[in-house]
Amino acid sequence: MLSVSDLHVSVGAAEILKGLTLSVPAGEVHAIMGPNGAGKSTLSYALTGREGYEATQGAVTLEGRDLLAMTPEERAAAGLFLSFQYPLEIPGVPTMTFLKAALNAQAKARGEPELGATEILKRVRARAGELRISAEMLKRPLNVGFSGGEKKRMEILQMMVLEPRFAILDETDSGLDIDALRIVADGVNALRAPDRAMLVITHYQRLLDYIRPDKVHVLVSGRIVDTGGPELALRLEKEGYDKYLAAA
Amino acid sequence: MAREGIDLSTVDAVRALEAGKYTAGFTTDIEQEFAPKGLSEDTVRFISAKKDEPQWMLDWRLEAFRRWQTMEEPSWAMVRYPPIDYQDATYYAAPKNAAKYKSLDEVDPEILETYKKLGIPLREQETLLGVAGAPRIAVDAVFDSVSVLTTFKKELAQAGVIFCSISEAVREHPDLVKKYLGSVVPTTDNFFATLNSAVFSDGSFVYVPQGVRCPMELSTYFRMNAQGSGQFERTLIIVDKGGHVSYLEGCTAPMREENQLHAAVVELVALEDAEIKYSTVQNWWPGDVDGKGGVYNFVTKRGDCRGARSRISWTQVETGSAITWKYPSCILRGDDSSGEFYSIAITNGRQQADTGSKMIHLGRNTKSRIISKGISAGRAQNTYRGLVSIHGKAANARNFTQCDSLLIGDKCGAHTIPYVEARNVSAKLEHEATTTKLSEDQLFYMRQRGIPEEEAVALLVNGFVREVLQQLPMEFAVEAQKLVAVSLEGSVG
Amino acid sequence: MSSATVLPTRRVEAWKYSDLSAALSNVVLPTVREGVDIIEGLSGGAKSMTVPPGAQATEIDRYGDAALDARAFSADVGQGAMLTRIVIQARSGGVPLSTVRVRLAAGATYRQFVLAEGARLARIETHVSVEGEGATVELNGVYMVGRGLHADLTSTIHHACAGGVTRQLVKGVARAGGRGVFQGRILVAPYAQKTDARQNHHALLLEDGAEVFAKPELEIHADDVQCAHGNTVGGLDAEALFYIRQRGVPESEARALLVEAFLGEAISDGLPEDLQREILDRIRAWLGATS
Ligand SMILES: Nc1ncnc2c1ncn2[C@@H]1O[C@H](COP(=O)(O)OP(=O)(O)OP(=O)(O)O)[C@@H](O)[C@H]1O
Ligand SMILES: [Mg+2]
Repeated sequence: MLSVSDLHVSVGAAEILKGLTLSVPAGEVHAIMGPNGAGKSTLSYALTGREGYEATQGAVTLEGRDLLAMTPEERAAAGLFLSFQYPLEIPGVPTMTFLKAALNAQAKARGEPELGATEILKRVRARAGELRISAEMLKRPLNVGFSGGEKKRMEILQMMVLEPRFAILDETDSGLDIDALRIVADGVNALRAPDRAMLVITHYQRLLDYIRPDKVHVLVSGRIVDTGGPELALRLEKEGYDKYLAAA
Repeated sequence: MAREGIDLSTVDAVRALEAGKYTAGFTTDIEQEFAPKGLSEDTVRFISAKKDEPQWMLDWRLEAFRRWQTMEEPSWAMVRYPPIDYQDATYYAAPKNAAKYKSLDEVDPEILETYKKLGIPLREQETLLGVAGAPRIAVDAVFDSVSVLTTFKKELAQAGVIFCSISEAVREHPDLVKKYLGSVVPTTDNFFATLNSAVFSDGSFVYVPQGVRCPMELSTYFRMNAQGSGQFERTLIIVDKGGHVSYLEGCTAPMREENQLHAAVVELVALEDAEIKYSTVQNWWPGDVDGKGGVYNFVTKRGDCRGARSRISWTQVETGSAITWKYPSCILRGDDSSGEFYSIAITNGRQQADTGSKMIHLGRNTKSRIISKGISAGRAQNTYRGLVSIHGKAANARNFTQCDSLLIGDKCGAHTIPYVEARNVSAKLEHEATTTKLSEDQLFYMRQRGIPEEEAVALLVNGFVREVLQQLPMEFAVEAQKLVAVSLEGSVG
Repeated sequence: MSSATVLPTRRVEAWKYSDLSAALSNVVLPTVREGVDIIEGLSGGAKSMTVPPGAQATEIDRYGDAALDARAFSADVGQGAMLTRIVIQARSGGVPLSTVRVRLAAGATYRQFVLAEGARLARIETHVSVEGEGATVELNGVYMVGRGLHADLTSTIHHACAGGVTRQLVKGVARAGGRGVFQGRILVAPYAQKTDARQNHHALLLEDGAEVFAKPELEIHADDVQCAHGNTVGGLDAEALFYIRQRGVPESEARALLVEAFLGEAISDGLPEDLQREILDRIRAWLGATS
């Protein structure tokens, strides 16, 4: 499904990703762990096409399509979704307006029929209920004045409404309270399907108790330096990254 | 839900309209009658005679004209334009045989067609812009120098509301006009207001009697059509004790290669407990991308909160004109009176705007609020200029001012020039201003969700101006929002 | 304009709130031209200095009681160099006028603090132009004016180069019959991208009959910038006053405490310590003498 090979990404003059190779087949959930500053968010921005994150070498494909050649919105329409580590506040743009614009733009890009306002509203309300997002929060401008945890839940709501093929969750667990963590994990698990895949970036084993990853990758200094099963996360929790950092 | 509908319709508008298209730019081909070119006492007499005015009105005009000849055009605004030759314009243009049509059946079909194209309903059963379920709106249609038709007059008269053209008011309600005309903006006020006082052509007159809430929205629709003509409208609105009115003003002009001059004066008087809400959507022809043509808009708008607890609120959406020079103001004379100014000013291409508000606090416990959102794109210059003045007796006066400017592209300018004068110890004044560009991070976030760049920009711009759009009556908000989107087309990417 | 003595009137924007011609009506004037260089014209020549690259210099300007004291000063601050200037305008019945033009090379810093106690008419003008990348301007000031006194802090900061930083904080207090004026313009030229400019003016009116006039200005011709200004004028915070009095502090003392804290925010730690002390002493003396 997603294939990244020998990816080099520079931010300004600095090379942050230095030959990263990774492949996530359809139906699987992979976790990425790694020390602060290793390049995890850089990877998620490079995959989604943020300006300033320049791929200088390597290739990225999603279901065989060359992602690097597409604009951010084309990648989104191709089914790529990023739950931001730091979700943005967008003053003056109501959440519902935003969701409707996104849904319809993606539908249009894919040549699918657009959804009616009431249908969208129904869909959003149902999902919001599952995530314990109040109707009042939906009325506010997107993320404005939300707490850290509320913003993260709003990211998951967007994911559930947009139903992406491939989702990247960049530290979505940070800032969530104990109940919210479970709710979010339930949401993620509900989205699991044979034709979908996910990349979960996290620092904590806790989330992986709820979302059992098929594979765990260790990202250090811009490269994947180790890959294993869920047990690798448990080991990292105990031992930290010293071993990898020393080798790097 | 309805408001959300408006947001989405902007997005639709962006999609639907082709780039750079000014949809009001067509001309209407009808027989017209003109004053001889140039400006002299004879021109003033000609206009006055055309309007069958009484002697006192002519004298008032002539005095203003003599005064004007001694005045100098102001040069402090941040706008640049070649010297205006005041002798090279026509000061009166009107559809032939139309001092005023008595009924809709008499109106030249070409004119009817014009308003229809612009979305302005002149048949009473029609609603503005075809919005289903919208409240009814009485319209005064001003075509070049004359008001051609005023709708719903009968129904308004039953409520005691006078809504007619100013020319008609001079003839039919001379006492009211004599008492209030020039009482807010004196004939000596400034170069452009004085010029207007001498040659004003038409405009609207509103009187809302004591205790009456005007039963419908009132609106005037100004259309400049004739080539080489200026428009000098004069509007006077008086709301007596405890009365209330909401008034809308819309303006368009055809695309012309030369610059058209527009120097209007609007006076508002609110007596005790009265309330006036005045909204403008100004969409005069802005000139082409190279700055050729376009309307010079030099306007003096002022409201006088004469009575205690009176309230005046200005809302403006300024997207048109080559040059905008305009400072809708409130004189807060009555104790506990309040003034508001909400503005969206958008400049693109080579447009220049120097606009803002003046709040003059004279009475006790007076309050004012200024919210200004300026957007500059292309090679345009956009200036907020405003005055908040607290006089010695204005105990407990309060002002809050927020001016935000958005720059789209690196060839334009955005400027903020507030003047603050405080003379009372118990007053509180706050002014905040920011100048930024659209946030790259927000744009990326939206694009990551699949929203194309242009649409993302439209949504962000809408968010930026939202607070002001919400002040507009619903029917106008839809129109205004489309205008915002259209005015900025071609400025991104 | 003819060559005769033409003084700016209140109609001239730059002198809107300071009527120099009225203040100087009984002074024999040399010929001056209208415009921003009027103080230069009255001063009879600008004193100038150069701060070499990497160097540091401090300049202290004191104004006393002279009937007319006009001084012009100009400085070039070299790459990475820093100039600190302190102006102390002591209360007087005369007309102290000061103007400075400072040019900053890349990475240079100009730090200025003005204490104005007011005069018949006091005008402290500052013009800084950022002519090298990444230069820093810190223009702070305090004015305190009582009966019959006037103080005008006027400045223009011209960002002609990219990456400049401006921090401006001016605070003022006025008592009955006193007039404080702040006029500050920040201009960002088309190529001065990434300029980060903050301008703030806050004033307290302490008694009825006090006046404060302000005209903060942003003129921005570059889009990738962060520019903001704020301006507030009002009385002392009644709630804070009550809070302090509730703790047993007498009203006059509580007021002095609040005003001192208010003005103190404009005094930067970067100033020489002895001057910081002098400025604070002067503020305390002013508060003690007039409360
Ligand atoms: N815009 C930028 N300019 C300069 N350096 C950057 C920029 N963005 C990222 N970096 C640097 O790239 C490196 C990788 O950052 P990244 O955000 O990808 O780390 P991360 O693995 O997500 O860390 P964390 O666990 O703290 O979220 C860091 O050293 C960071 O400072
Ligand atoms: Mg990260």
